[in-house]
Amino acid sequence: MIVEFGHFALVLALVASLIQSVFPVWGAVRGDSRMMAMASPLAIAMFLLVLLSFFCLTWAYLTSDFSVMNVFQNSHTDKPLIFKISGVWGNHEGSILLWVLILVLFGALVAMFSKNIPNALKATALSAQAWVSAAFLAFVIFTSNPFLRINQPPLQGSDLNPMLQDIGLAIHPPLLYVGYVGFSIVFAFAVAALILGRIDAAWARWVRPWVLVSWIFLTLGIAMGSYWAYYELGWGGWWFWDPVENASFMPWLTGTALLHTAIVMEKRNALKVWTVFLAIVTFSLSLLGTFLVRSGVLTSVHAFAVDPTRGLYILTILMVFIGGSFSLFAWRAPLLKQGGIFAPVSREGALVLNNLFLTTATAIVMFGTLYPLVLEAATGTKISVGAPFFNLTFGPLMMPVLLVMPFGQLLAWKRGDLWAVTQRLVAAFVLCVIATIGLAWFYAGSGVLVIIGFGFATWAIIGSVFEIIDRMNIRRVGLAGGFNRLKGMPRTVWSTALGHLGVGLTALGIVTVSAFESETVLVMHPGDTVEKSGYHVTYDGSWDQRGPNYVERVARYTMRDGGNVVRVLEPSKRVYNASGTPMTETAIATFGFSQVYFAIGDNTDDGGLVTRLYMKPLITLIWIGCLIMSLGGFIALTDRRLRVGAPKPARKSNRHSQPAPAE
Amino acid sequence: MTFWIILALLSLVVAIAVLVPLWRGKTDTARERNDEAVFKQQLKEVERDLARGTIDPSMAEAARIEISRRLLEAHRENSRDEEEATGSLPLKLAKLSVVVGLPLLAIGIYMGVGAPGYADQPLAKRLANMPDQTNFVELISRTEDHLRRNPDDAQGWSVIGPVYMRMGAFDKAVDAFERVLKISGPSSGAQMSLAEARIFANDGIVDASSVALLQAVLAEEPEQIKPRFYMAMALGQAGKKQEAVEAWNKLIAEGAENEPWVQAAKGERAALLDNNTPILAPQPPATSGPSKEDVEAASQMTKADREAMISSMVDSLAQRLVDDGGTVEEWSRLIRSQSVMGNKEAAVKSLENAKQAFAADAAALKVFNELSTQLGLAN
Repeated sequence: MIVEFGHFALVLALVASLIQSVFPVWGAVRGDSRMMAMASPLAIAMFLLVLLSFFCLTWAYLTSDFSVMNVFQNSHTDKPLIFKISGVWGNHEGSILLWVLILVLFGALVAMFSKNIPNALKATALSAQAWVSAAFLAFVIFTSNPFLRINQPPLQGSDLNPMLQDIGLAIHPPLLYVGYVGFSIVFAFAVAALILGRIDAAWARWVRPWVLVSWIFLTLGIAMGSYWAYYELGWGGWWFWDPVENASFMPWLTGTALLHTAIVMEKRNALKVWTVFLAIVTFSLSLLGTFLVRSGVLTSVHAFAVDPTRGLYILTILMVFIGGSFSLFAWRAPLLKQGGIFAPVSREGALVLNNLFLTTATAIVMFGTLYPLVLEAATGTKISVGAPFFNLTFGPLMMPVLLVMPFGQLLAWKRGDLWAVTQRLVAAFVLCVIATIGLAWFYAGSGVLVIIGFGFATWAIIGSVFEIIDRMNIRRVGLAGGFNRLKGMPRTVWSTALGHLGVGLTALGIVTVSAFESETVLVMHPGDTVEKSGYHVTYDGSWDQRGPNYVERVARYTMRDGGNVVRVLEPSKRVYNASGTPMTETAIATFGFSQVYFAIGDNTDDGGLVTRLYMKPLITLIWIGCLIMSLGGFIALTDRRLRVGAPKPARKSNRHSQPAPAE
Repeated sequence: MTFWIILALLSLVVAIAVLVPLWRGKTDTARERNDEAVFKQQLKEVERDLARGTIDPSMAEAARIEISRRLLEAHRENSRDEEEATGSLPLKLAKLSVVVGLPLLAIGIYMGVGAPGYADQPLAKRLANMPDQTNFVELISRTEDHLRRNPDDAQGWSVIGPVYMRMGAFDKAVDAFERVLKISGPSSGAQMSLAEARIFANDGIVDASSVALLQAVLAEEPEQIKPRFYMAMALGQAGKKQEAVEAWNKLIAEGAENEPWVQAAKGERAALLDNNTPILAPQPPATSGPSKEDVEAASQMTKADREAMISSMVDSLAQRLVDDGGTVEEWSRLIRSQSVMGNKEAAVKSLENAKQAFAADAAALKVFNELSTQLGLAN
């Protein structure tokens, strides 16, 4: 009866979330400490209940209990263990359950680790989060219930979509969901601040870890999804401006903006209303993303749930939450006291500039994503907004971001000296020019756009680490002194540098791969050799073999560099037994940061094999950059030091002993 | 009973966890707003940072002043709040909702959406628990399990092949017979079975590989009816109308009037002679049978015709079963065909008819129920 216990636990969690929705916030408004104190145990209980129910569903998958509709529809006895487990969230019902699980997990984390948050704020935030939990628990239970049973259980399941039987699927959704859902906590804190009418620098300090955690996971989730699409779909593309990708990218953009304003707010007590606004926008975009993916309004590889009832339900949730929170914002935001002032040329100013670009970029992505939907709904015309639109609009917008990043790092708080910073960056500029010329020479690229792209990317890379080198100031204090300074540097300096370095590396990867990738499609017969980017690739032959739940045709290719074998690759084409669906499994050879990508197509009648080879220069930098960005975020997370938003006494600015910002 | 006790316990644990803070005395630290504590904490941190030298004294001083200002403000606000009277109605409501609302609402919703007391049905347990029951599907599943572990068991494959054929799982049957041939070498029996399975899997198209198999069988047993029947079909499909009609004539002459295949053969011959029947493929080269491309082109060309033919066959089967009755297998095949052809309404109707016809036969009803779940006809 484990399955039924899981079902009941889920229902109990819904009821608990309803209680949580009402009483703690009521207590906070009335000033009743006992009602506020209900929040923490309820949050923890909700988490344990949903966890229990998630385990029960996993149990049903592990034991192939086909009396559970969801298991019957998405599992198969032949499926390897890991995909039996990942199959739990590889379908609509299960993935929403995972969504809810992470939602309540964040609630429980706030309950457990926020010992020094004012009780009223904590209780209100947990209540606000419970509204979201209640809405989604009801969504699971009443429209997408994974625990529905079959009276006459069949003996075999229908198997999981083969495209999703991949280790990438096992990791990608949980990462992405932690990111998406994590912003719900930030949202809840923003709503709580609005309800209580109080917000200050301390608020930003309490919210910062949640913003960081969400942002790190969202970054990793998007990178993972991009890499998964790259090697699993077999087209060699790593980003398609697919609406589902955009859905996760929009909250990332505003989340990045939020990350930066939260710093300003924490340190300078400024931009408070804007920060709250961004918190609401970011979570609204997460909800929008969930709606787009889950409602089936889009048709893409992710749309494995197409059901209008569900779509309507999520749309209602979406409208209630977004409409409600913006109304609350319009009503209460004027009550929030404005904070510190700053000059346009200052670190705050640079961050505001960054925010402007990021939010404009978000608006563009949103337009490109939603316009086709709206147009189709209104006029019935089907258009598709693809890469050309985004390349023309999003690309140019990112260039000033890359340009300004190094300045922002070096500008002082409150009022900065742009001229002084520019002078300090001259060395970085020289290095950047040298690096650009070097790259252009190496890749034999001479297009204007390529040079510009290289220039901006290397500028961001060199500029990001320049602050650290600048701070070491080896010229003045010597090598040993420089290293002493290096050790003494606050972690935020490192996190900023790494975050910006990651952006630069990703940009470099994107520019290089867009400009210099090459594709070869040809029919190869066993023994044929083709030359690809300096390597000789020989097709040795192909054979059929059996996997646990598929049969595959494996082709073997040998790569030789000058006569030496450097890699043997075995891409394959699989046909899954249960569904009969064919899938391409690619093989990838990595050389430094570049990759050669193999995918095979159909056999020709005369024994040949359609072979696709791609050369992807520096492509791994795209994802390495994301990893480094996340690492930066992680370092920032470990820096729990105080940032007091106290005004710094005015001082004469001294160019050579530029004071370290009060971290 | 145990089930309900566990449900009750689960609710109880949650209720108690929430009630503990509610039952606490009211007199504790009056307002645990906690923000004053936070600011005090911050002051300490400034001192620590100053001692470690991470901030300079002037900044520490500024920070101290700022934090103290906030501390005072928070204190003022908190003492003001404290004066507000607190009624006890909301508190009572909170308690009531936890003690009464939580369990009642949860059980209520669960009764609506759940299947109380429905035991788990892990596959391993189900397979182990019913070894004697001659449930068709169970047996298949167990045989498949066995074959998965012993893929070289030709005997097993040759047993399950015909079963797949009867179930309509022709692709699986093809796979099974291919294995039999591969493991135990060519034999006319296995070759015949494989050819037949391929023809069925191809919706009645006799392709080149099937023709080769049939020819191999005929080389061994030239008089056998079955391979000649399919060869005649192949000729017809290849557009060799004259030869096909001759082949049919010869076959029909040999068989007795009441044999079922003679009827089928007559039908095929009539279809060939009918002028409206399209020639399925261009005349292939005289030296060999139809090439793969020809057959493929033909199957493309006449998809609509083929579908019409199949549906008329299904309809006549339906008519016969309704009029004269039939076996469980026949009914199952009818329902499956109708469902596969996308005619769900007809499939549901046939299912009802079948259930009526076997109302007294529990085993048959079970087969039908399973079939309906499998095909998604239940809802």
